[in-house]
Amino acid sequence: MMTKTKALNFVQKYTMIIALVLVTGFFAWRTNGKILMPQNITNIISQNAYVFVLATGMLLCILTGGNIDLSVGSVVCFVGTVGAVAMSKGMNMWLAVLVMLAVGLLIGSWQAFWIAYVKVPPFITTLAGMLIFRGLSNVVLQGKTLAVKNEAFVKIFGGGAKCYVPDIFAKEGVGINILCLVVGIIACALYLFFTLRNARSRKKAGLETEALYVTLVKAVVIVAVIMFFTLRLAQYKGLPMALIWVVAVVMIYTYITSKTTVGRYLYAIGGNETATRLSGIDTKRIYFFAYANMGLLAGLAGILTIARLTSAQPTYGQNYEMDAIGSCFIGGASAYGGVGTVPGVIIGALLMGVINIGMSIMGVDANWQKVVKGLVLLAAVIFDVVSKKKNS
Amino acid sequence: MDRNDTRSRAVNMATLRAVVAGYLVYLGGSVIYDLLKGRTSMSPALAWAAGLLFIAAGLGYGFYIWRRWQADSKASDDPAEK
Repeated sequence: MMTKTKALNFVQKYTMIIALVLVTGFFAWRTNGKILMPQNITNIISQNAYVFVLATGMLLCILTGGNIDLSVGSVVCFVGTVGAVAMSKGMNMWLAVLVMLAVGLLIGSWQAFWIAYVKVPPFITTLAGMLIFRGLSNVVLQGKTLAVKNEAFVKIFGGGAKCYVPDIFAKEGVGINILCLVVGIIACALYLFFTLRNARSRKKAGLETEALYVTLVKAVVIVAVIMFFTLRLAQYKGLPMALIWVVAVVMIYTYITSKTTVGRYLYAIGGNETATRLSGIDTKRIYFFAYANMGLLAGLAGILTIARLTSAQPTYGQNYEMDAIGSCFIGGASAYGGVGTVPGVIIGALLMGVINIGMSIMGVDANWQKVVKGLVLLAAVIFDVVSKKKNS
Repeated sequence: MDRNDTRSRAVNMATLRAVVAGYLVYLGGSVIYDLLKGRTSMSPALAWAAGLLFIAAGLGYGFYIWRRWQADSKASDDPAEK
């Protein structure tokens, strides 16, 4: 009985990881292992970099009580447009990057002001933003495509053929990216160090800790996964630049949501806003932070998007909000707020990325991809309706 | 939780659900649109079935959201709840 409960708890806790493994296994089988080829792993990271970034920002909004930001796709497009125009006029690349991030933050702060201080419902504010910034992008670009010709910009932020971290340890005749392997080994060492340190400090504080063998098995599995993917990337061209930006965002926001006061407040507001306000916390500032931050991350996603596609177009960013919201819910964020983690959301985004790339490799018609997406959504809708009925 | 909180949560939930419902209708519509434009290799019967299923599911879910929204609004206006 005990073992059954433990197994059930394990499945519940790691549902999304199990789903990711199963889906990857399915596509590995159906594509004769092509999906696990180094180039395709790189593609999953580069093509979905914007989803990882936007989903992380969206999580912070959702944590405050199921609030969403519908404008992110349009903000991505507008920020990209501003950047492309600035660089086409000869602006320095780094200055253009700063301008793009500042524009994103400014738009986020503008929307955050209405949401946090004037109490306009987020969906109305961000729906307006969605229309305004899509329209502005159209006006600035006049419906045309503007090429991004700055090579350094594309190399640093893009996901194309030359957008890899240069191998400083490269040796002639060695067909593997040594830097990539070194980074993988360092990542494993850091993971082991922090896991053991965390377990020790929990024990010292008298908190509940999991059995040593569970910690070890988990560590071995995670280290094996990191090394497998590192080796795969090293066999191709090494670390894609997009991965560096995604890892930076994930690490910063995992830290913010789990170790800082503002992170705790986000969860607290999602749990019970009134109680949070009555405990003396300025809930308006937390709302402001969540939406201003979403603007900043939309700015970064805009940079990654125009660098990968080497152009700006008024149609860029369409449905990006759906990708971000979908990743959050697949990754375990609650529509009621207060529940969800950055790693969970990344797993959700990865699952969607694997499904998209897997179907592309299989040569499945784009409409089939829509059908699969629709079926996943339909399952979520049925779950929503049925669970509500059960509860009532 | 105070009344404003309950109401704003009901609004948030309804919005989120409406987005999902709208997206389902969009997916269904675009599958049928691509079929009519001859831009798909899917069999017509399957494309019609999937498209109509998604549209119907989206509209049905929209109706469900409307009903829930009314029930939640009633609950937050009910003096006994206050």
